[in-house]
Amino acid sequence: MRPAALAAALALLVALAFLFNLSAGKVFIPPFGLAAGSADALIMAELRLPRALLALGIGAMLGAAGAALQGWLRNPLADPAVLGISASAALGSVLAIFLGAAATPAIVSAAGMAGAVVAMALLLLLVGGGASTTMFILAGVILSTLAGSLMALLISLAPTPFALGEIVTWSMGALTDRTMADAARALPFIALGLALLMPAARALDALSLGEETARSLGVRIGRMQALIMLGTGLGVGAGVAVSGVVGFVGLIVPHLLRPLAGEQPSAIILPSALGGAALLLTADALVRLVPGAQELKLGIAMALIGAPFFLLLLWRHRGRIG
Amino acid sequence: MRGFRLLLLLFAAAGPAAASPQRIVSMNPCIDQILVGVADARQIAGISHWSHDAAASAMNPAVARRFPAHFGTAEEVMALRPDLVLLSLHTPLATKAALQRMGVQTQEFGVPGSVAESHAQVLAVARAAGHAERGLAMVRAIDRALLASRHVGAQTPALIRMSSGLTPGEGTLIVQLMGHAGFRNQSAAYGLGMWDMAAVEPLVRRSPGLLLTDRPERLHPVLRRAGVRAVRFPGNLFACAGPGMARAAARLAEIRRGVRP
Amino acid sequence: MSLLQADALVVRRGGRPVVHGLSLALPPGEVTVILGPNGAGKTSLLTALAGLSVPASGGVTLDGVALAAMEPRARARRIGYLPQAPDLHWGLLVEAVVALGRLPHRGAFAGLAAEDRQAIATAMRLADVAALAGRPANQLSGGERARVLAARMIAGQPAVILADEPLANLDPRHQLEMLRLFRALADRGAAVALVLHDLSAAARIADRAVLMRDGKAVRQGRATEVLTPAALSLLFDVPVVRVETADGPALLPLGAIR
Repeated sequence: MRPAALAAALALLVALAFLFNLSAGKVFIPPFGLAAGSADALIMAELRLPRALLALGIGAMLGAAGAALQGWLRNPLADPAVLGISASAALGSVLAIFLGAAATPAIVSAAGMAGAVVAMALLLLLVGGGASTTMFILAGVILSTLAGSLMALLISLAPTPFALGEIVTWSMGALTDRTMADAARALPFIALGLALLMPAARALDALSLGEETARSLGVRIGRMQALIMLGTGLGVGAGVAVSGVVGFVGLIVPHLLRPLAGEQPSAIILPSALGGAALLLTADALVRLVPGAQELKLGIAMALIGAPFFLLLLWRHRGRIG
Repeated sequence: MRGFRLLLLLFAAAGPAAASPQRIVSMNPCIDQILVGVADARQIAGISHWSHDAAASAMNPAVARRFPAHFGTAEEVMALRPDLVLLSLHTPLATKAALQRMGVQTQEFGVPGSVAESHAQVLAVARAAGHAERGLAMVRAIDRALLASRHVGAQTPALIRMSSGLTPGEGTLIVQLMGHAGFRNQSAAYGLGMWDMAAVEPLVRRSPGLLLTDRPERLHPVLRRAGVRAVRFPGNLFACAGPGMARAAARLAEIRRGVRP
Repeated sequence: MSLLQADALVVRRGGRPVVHGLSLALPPGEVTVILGPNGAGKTSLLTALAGLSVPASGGVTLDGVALAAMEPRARARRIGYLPQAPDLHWGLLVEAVVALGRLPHRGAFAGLAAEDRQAIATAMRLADVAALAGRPANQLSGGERARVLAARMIAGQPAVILADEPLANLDPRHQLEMLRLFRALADRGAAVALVLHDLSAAARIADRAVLMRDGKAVRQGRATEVLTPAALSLLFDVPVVRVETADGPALLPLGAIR
């Protein structure tokens, strides 16, 4: 499909998913024509709109980050959650809460971004050493486990069982009951993160011919890595600080879009951002439609879809990765 | 209430106290609260670490600090050389088994779902400590507090919802105390069960009446704009039966008195 | 017309010198062949000439300007480098791979200009890969792949071409085509340096030759003077026989097996 046509089709999908996200819930609300001051208008403006905006931004960021990381590591299994970046962001946020910053969400967000950037820097150190694909996935697994364990440690040291419950609930990943203030805190950094990833796209194309060839083509590897590190770190970190860990978006979306967009890394980043937004908007609407008073946690829903998908990818690429 | 008292007397009369244990360790913050009220201080060899934290426990921190705390492992508990360990339903199976293997005498307590069950638990802890009469006194004190908190007249709709979303529903002791203090709990109207997470949106669509929450300052802005009134109800008051119930009931009564008709 | 020059070049790898005080010049319009046994430092020399590694001492200059002082994209516009076994990740289409050669000529977000398209078309014609344009490059045969990667380098229209064992894994027919391609590029004015292991191919294409051993140039100069059976026997420690043919000299490394 031609890039412009694909982008237009995906943008339309995002718009539809956005409207679906706004309307869907235990009670259906039409997104337009609500009487000002009615409960529905209040729900739309203060609960559903911030939620839809966050799903849009976080989905776009996770999709684009997945595509960029896959291009960078030349590995179709890379994803912010698989590589432990999301877990590290969560750890950063929990650490901030543990140290008493719960009342200052800006600090919690900043700590989330710092956690993600540190995780990216650790991965970068590994790439500098010329790590293989297997090594990366292993490093990601270890980073995820470590961050998860440290988080569990902090939670177990947390002063009250109620603060604990709150952190555990948040870490499972959800967009339930987020406020406009949450959206205002995350979205600018997500936009910045996306903006940093875009100029790295061409360099990623060159990187598909190997690092040496890329450098011979004038690519500044260090600059490209810094863009990916900061872009992914800031964007994913800011998102995780608000939503908790939502995995697998960056894994699923680029893979689904490659047959349409081609396999060139630069051709897949923007469509993956759009596709990620559409996927998360849809998934976040569907988790509200499960029967009963409760919602399904978005992070759990994505893991239920994503983990089998990861296994399928692994099975398809068996023998080619090592 | 009269029925309860009868029950208590039966409990109190049952069985003469054996040689009282001299080193009792409690594994659970709710049992801790009962224990410190019914046992001699020198009988208590250890309480759970939660009780040392005023934010988590309804126990007076000055009282709590007089007793060593442990983090619930069999090893720590054994190091306290207990002759009786009071377990709860939430004590991990492995810990229970380890303690029993090492030959320590244990007694397990459940989570009371009613005032009667709570009273029975208080008496049982007191008897285990060899001070049945103090259990009776504690039960009477709780009953007095409940009586004082009793509201006669119209019930006002209300919902307890912690800032995490955690909401106690029908079947929990705290909801019975709410009814006692003149509140009509609304959780069932939202389809919530015993301990469910309540989302904000249904509360906007249908007001819960008075919202009791641990941190009213962190109320979701949409609830404020929807005109939902929130009052503080500390998070350490709603999880335990026993003497904590008296404080919870008192706080509920205080809130109820503040409600304009 | 450009001139790439190395002066008393020392390259270290892991602390050990792999190129040891080597000086050479790559004149435009000529093919320089670099020969030497395994581990002689040929690849290290080539990456240093391409400006991809930082020399421990000495330096490489292009028309008198030190490579180290050049902006990477400016350097990339002038020097084309074809590594020994280039990676090819993803299923990039052949035309997309060749278009990567234009990367140093394009603005950060600019599309392909008419000039870029022309350079790509010319490169694909020269490397005879135009017919493969729409195919994923990672599904091609070894010979097709080598030609596509060469086309990628040619598309950048570099004045200096450095290729590391470009004949490796090619059948005789594709080897001949690859040699013709480099000859044609030199004839168009490029300075070409090739690391080769095929002595006959070297003798037939080289204008100049550098014989390397232990990081040093043991001999260099006009190919006809340097590439003698005696010098090559000494270099590789095997008997080398020269046979004259209608298509030029053939140099055969021999030696009894039994």
